Amino acid sequence: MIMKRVLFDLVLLATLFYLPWWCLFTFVAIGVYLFPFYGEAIVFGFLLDLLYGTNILYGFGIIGLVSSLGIFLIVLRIKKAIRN
Amino acid sequence: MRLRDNSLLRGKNLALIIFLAISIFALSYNPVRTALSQVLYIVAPSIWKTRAVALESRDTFLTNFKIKRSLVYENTILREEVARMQVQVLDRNLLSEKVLKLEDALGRAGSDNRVSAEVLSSPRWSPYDILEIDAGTDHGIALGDLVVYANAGVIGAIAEVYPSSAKVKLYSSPGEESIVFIGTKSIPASAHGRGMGNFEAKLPKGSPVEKGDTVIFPKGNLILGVVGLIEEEPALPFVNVFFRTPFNIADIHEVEVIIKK
Repeated sequence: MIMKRVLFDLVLLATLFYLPWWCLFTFVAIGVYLFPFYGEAIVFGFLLDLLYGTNILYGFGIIGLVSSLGIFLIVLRIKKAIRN
Repeated sequence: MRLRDNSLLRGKNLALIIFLAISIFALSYNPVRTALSQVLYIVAPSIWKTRAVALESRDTFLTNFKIKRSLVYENTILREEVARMQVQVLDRNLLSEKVLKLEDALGRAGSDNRVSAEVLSSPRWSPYDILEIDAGTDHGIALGDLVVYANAGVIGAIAEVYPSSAKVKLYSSPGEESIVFIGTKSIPASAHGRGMGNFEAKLPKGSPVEKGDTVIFPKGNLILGVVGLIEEEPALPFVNVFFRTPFNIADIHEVEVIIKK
């Protein structure tokens, strides 16, 4: 399981650099659904902001962080509802 | 066992909250954010360059599968377009010479230093209206320097700068406000960014503005956009003018940075 998780993290890291932002959020949602307590989601949101944003922009440059937290919480809730 | 699971989950939640708090602080406090970005930007430009190579290879590969006839047709159209643009460039060169002569005669010779830079990442790749370019402080670029495309169209200003790369904040970013002159009568207006090269400005009703009018950015007399739509509502005392950059921001591959002398 840990190996799979590390591999998925590497895929997400590649997505961050090679694919459009919405692909990253899609993969983050998949990760939160597949793995238990996928906290890496927040780290990737943070990296997205560092890489592409500035804090003199709209959303104070934390759109990635806030969105990944939102996805994390929503998918976690959905997961809980499905599995109960 | 259940108690252990609960305390583990509580510990994870606490770790997540602490990480969130640190992240928000790091992203909001500029010196920390710049320092962290600088570390990331040691590797990011080279990775983005490999992305550009990969995309080019994909396009070349896909072109091989295009039908010959459609390629011939496309080639003819492109040739016509090139011919038309060559004539326009000739006309432009003549005008440019005239302007330089006039500026010289008035004692306001306006030559500026420009650094050409390749676009590493466009707004297509990020949720922000930001361009990443491959030139930075090593090339004389500083915060606030203007960024232009195709010699005349201003697109934004340098927002963050690293030794060999920089981030360009586009004037079309949502929430951005710029003073502009619209149309032949140079009507002053406040342009609001709407993202991806789109802008909106409000003008008093009856203002002499038409579709196709150019919008000028006062700093450096550069073109910011072309009016695409004028919306008028009978009940309101103003008209909404929508304009956009004459080129697609997402397709820009190279820009020029006007550096301070």
